[in-house]
Amino acid sequence: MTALRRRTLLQAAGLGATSWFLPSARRGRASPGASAPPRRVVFIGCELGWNPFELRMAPPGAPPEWLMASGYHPAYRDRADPRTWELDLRSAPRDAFSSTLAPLFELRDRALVLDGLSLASVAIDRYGDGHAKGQLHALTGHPAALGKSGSRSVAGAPSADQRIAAALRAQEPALTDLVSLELSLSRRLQYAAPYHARIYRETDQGLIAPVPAEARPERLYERLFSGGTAAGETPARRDLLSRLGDRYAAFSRDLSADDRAKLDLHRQLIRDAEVRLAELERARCQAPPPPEPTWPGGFDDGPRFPLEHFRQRKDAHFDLLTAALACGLTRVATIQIANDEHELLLGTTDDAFHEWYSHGTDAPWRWYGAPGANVSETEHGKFVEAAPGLAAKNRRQVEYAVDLARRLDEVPEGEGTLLDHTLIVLFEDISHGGHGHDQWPVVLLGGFGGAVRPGRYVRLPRTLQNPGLNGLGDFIGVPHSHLLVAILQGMGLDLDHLGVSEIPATSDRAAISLSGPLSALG
Amino acid sequence: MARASNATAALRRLTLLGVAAALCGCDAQGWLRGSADDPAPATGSQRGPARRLNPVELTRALEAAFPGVELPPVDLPPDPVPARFDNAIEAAQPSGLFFAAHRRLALRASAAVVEQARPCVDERDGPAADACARAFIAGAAEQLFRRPLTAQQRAAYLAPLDAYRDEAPSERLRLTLELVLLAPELLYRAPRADAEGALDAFALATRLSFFLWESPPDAALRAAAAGGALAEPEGLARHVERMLDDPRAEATFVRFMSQWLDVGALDRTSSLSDDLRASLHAASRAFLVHGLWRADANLGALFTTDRAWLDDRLADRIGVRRPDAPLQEVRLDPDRRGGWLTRPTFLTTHALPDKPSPVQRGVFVFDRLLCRPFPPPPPEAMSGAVVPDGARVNTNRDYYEVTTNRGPCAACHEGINGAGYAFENYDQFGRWRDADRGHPVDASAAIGDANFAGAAALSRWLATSPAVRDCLARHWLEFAAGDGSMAADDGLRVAVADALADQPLRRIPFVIATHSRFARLASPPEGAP
Repeated sequence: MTALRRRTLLQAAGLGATSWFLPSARRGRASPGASAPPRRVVFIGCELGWNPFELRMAPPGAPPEWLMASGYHPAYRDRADPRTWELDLRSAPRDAFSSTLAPLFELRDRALVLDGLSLASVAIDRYGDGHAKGQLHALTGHPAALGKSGSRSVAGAPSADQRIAAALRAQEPALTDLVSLELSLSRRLQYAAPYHARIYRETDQGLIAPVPAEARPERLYERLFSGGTAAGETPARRDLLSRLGDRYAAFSRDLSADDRAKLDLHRQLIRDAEVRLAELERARCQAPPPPEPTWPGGFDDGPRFPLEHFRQRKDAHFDLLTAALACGLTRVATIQIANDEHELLLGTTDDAFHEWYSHGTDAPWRWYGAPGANVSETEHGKFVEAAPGLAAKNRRQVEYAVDLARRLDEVPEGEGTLLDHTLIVLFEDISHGGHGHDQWPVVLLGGFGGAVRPGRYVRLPRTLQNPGLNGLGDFIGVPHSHLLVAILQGMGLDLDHLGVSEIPATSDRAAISLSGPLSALG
Repeated sequence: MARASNATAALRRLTLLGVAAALCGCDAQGWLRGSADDPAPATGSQRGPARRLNPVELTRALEAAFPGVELPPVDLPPDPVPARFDNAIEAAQPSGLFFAAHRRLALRASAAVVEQARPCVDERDGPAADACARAFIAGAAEQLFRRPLTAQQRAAYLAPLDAYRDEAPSERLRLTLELVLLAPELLYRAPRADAEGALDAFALATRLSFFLWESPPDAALRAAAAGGALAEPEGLARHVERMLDDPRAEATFVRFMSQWLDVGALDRTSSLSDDLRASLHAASRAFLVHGLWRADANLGALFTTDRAWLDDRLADRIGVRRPDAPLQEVRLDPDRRGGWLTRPTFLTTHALPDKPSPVQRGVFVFDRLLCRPFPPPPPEAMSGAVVPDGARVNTNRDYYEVTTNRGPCAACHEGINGAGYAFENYDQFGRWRDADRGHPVDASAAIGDANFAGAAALSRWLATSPAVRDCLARHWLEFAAGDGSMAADDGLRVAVADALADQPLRRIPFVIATHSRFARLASPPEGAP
């Protein structure tokens, strides 16, 4: 149990009163009505892929082959599969949910599962391994700018969360850098992986820079509620920031243009801190008590932590994020989840987890003995043994998303709850153990201010000619870029595409459009 | 009289601080006075690229300025490391997380200094107290900023002392020091140079000190800069020699070599227990300190020495005789255990949890030692290796051969594996093996036209390879500059590579620091005198 429990937070934050927001929380452009609360979005990025066979759902009585096309069956390697279906999760009984999606039952009227997307833009990326590409493309939809030592890469465009943050700040000057939060539930993970990053922002000089994520709840608390420090903020300390900003201006005067831009960014961060202090002085949304683990020494004691550490860290992060969203400090967040908990539960290590549970569950290996399957008995045996572990990991990740959604649903807002105006987006870096990027499931939770129609499981067609995605046949599913466009449009951004707008045609394949929103969302 | 005794007490406290020593020692040279006005930048003068201090450099800067004070740890979010070294200019981009952490550090460090050193605490309010506080802040700023204050800087950084009169004196001092600790002049190095690109004396002292010590200049170096001694080759060489004899030079060497050899991979290898990871770190450090730096060893020893430092845990792990002490030097069979590439740190971090990886080991040789990186694998190569039906796989080598010798993989893996197979006598723990799953190990390997029978032979070849010398020269110069600018200077790089052929490794920093290019912002244009 963390010291910061939801009830405490809600009381401290003034639940039940009408004054939920700081003055900075003006109404977002995307809001359906002038008085509606602003929309928020929370991305939750995981790693090492899905076990599709424990995730997929089909209509009652559907023939088994309905599952085969998107299950990497050899019969569908060179065939398109135009079949689509939509399941009404609101009326689905508990046992109709797949084992991975079973945690959604509790919030089934707020869940939307997209089955059959593809990370199509990966096809035109030269750099990085499967993880690097998935982590990078999931939120950018754009090829890497360059590669680093084989498996690494660096993004060529800012990630969706940072695009949203930049746009909102341009619209609402009172918002600060806290408009976006980047969090890690893993102690060691401040980027998506030691070599990979998922979150990128664009600097003033056009540089695409990875953004570190906060792994320590106590630090997050300080940033959110104490102006970045644990000590009380005084007028003198605000004045100090103003003086510091002046020094940065003076120091950068005779630097090169690039360096000036870097220092200007630093100066902007100082300015953000100043604004936050001013906002806090006027805040009606009270700070909750600081999070504390049940052991001494803070959340970070010890190089590896027992299972309880992970869970308390998650609880504290989720509570603070809920507070930041509710108080209007934050509109977009990205949460990174590594495999600490899964490793601990399964008694393995990160490297071994990757080797055994991810590479060991290359989805086509399930089809040993099927006509056309190039699968050895050893490979199939490995799959059979490892697949349940990967599915268990997937299920826990769905539980995390539901956990956060529940917290948001406890916060009244407008005519409904905070969850009604928020969209939680749960995704992986790769589709399945084969490290490919087609048939990439996404779990959504929340009403997003009316911009999505939840309570559904949506199977999308697999009919686009494969532009070069890894090893899964001649056809791929709907590009995820459309989902990103829909989310960004929902947040009020006036754009038609994110990252690249299309995958160009070749002599034997038509162009694939990556523009426009995903119609299946609404 | 009371005032005099108060002043004496205050000075006694101040001498606890390096800043006071700097203040007193340098006042005679004009350190405290600053210029009457901020000089306009001289026509054609230049500023070098702004490089943020990394956490190690910032820690040492604070420790040097406030010796005896128990400072809070410099706990900043890690930068992504796009280059080999954590002092790379491109690595350090500002972020909200960074600023929040830096601000927290400044707040806590200023509180620690004021509470523990208690500067000016005996002064009552009045002119003497004011003078004491101003001297204290100015001294701290000059040391932390690594050059004399301009008049404008003096005014800006002392102003809070006047502005916050409503605060208690100690709080006023703390707030003012907090501003200094947040200052861009502390956090960023942006060297000043004249129109021809020659660094000014303070910029040269700073570059030298961070290169050799990862620390700001000490009092002697600052005095040399102020007195013009660094402008003379003899004066510069004297200080380089002095600094190389200091333990901080050894620490910097270890950090440089550790980053080049990627010892940090130990922290990214999750299959290690904490105890084992600690043992590997300690053994690696001992290898670099005792086996290379203190032994006056040359580059060849890195690849061929039979000296190793092992504890019980590591000896058991690689299957050699247990030492008598917790961490002890042992001599290993040079035909099996010659140099770094046969030590458990390298072998463990370049392996999968269940098998050694000739691919990772081969990539390391090409990328780190020969500066010949391979392009990233094509997409279709990343789906996991599949053993073709009917393929005969008896050994680890067989597995890699049949899974990488086809299609788009073959072109690169012929080279990568060609080097990596030399390590097949070592399993994923670094233990020697003559047989793999009951079949004889084949450790024959090749790089280009050179053939080797095992890792010891490969290491002997690397020990005398001009390509390795050139590659290490590049890396060392990248470390010195924070970017590729010095490494791109052919003359300097060749001089370093030549020195690596016959001089001890600990001599290489001298070669770099006393080269004319080191004192310049950029290489002179071709044909320039």
